[in-house]
Amino acid sequence: MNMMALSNDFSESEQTLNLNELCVQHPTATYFVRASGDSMIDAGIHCDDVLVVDRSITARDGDIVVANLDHSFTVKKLELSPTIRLLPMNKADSDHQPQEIDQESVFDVFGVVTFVVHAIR
Amino acid sequence: MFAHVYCPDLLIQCEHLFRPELKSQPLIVYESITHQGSELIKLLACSPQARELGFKMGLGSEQLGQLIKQHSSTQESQTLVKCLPNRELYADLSKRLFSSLEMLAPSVTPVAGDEAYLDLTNLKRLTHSSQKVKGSPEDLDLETGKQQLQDFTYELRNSIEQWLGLEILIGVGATKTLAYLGCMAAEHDCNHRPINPSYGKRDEHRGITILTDSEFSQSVLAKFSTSRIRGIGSKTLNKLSTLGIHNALELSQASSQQIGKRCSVLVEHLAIELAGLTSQLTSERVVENQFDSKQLRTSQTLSDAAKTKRADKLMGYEIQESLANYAKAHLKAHTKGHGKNSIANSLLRVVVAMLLNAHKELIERQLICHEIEIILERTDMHAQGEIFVDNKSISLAEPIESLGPIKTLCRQIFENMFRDKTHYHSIGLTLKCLDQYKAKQVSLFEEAMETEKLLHLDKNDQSFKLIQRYCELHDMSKQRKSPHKQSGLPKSPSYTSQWHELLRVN
Repeated sequence: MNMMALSNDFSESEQTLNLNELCVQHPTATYFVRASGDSMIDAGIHCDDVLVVDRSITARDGDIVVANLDHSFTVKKLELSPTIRLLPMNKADSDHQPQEIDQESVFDVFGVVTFVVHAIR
Repeated sequence: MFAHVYCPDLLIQCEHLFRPELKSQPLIVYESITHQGSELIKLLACSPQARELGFKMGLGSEQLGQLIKQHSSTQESQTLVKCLPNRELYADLSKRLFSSLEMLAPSVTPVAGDEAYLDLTNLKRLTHSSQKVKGSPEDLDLETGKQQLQDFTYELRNSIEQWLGLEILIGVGATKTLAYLGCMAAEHDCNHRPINPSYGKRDEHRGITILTDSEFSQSVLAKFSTSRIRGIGSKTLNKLSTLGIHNALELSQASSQQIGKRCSVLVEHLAIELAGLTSQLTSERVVENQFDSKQLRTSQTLSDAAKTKRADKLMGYEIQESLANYAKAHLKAHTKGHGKNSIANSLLRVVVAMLLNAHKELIERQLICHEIEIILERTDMHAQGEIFVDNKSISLAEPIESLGPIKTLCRQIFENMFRDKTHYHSIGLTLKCLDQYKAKQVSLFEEAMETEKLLHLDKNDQSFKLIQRYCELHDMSKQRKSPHKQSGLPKSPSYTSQWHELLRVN
């Protein structure tokens, strides 16, 4: 009898933690994308990691953003001043250079990266 | 006060969101079905650039084939991009659109996968007349109300654009019909006003039309020919023109009683709504013709909604509002004291009655239907009175317009769904994916012949064969939905529903 009462308690207790609650604040405005390459390795973004991108957040200086630059999507650190630039975060590899956003480039921020899902095995 | 929100070219916008490089190219979304050895092409969406090339909704399969060939082979600077429908993506974004609207707006009534009405009554009470004495408290109230309405719509449009990456159009008016016209005016405005180059950004009015000012709304209404109002078909159009009514303004100013006498109650209802007064007509016909959103939302899968929407645009009609006779009959079918059959029979009688109505409409507008759906709303006794909605639909490989076969099909669907000892609230019937009768004249002729035969069989009480025939139909419709055998035609990746197809970023 006691066990019955207890099991009722079980079913009424809070649900199991859901990772979505932690990582997805705005479900309607959140998209997942997958990173490729190692240009953002210093930010903890490795190749094949899944990025949680929130479009409802307005990007600020220093945010890591997914942006559409000249019709291709890229993940970089956004610098707003003095000029708008997209900064790679990989000190070890000098191949990755900051990209200036000038008047002619087609540029818009797709969304702000809020979480990185990285598999370690 | 209502707002009508519409997401123009939803399918195209969805494709552009993850493939922005396509924005500058003409893009079409289409599917093709191999039917009796020949390929039938159906256009689901086309971008504005594709429209410039001559693509438009409602083109026949042959014309489409020619256009596609013509623009694929030539060495043009802008090559035509063709893609197959990515229904998962469209359904996901459509779901996001509605959940966002629900977060941002007070009361949302979905109409289709890409449009909805918002009830703004609680947002601010706004009066329609502008004849108030200036400086009076009411006048001030009106001004702040207007401002509030403007702020709300701008905020809504900007949020949806930022959150989802979709552009929406908003029309606001005292009634749903006015809001809808406002939305269409906004669309017209967007298509004909170039993006302001000096700012490099869209001006803030773009995509929004608010019809609260009576002078302004009159000028907008005057530009609308009656043929563009949803719910008005060719016959009504003729009747109205004999009354000297050619645009929405004239309809709104006409005596609604006179309209009611000469045309249907629905048109009378429209006239009253256009005048900015909420129609109080409660006659059965209007109630039946009125689309019940709550039900539709639950019954319609979103990909279906998108499909239906496209099919409707084919004829320039709107299925939900006026065509599909989405009747709702409240029935208290308590199981106590009744046998199973009597409940089933009484429900079935309702279905048939609704069908007769819908069918009349179908014939009147010279349409045929590809899909039949029945919706049953029930209370589950075991789940503390929670309301459940069951729906079942059959899509037909061959469209049907004659009543007999539809009736039989309906009965079959219904019998399949009906459960004993269940409390049913309401029942609905939708004829979906409507198409113009004339467009399929040839194949329909064959079908008509067969139907005749079938009816003949039915009379001789050989109903078994009838059932068999429809099983066949049903199976064929399944084939229609299965992936097509056309390789080499790209479908965009399932960006939002498959982990291995996520957008790659460098």
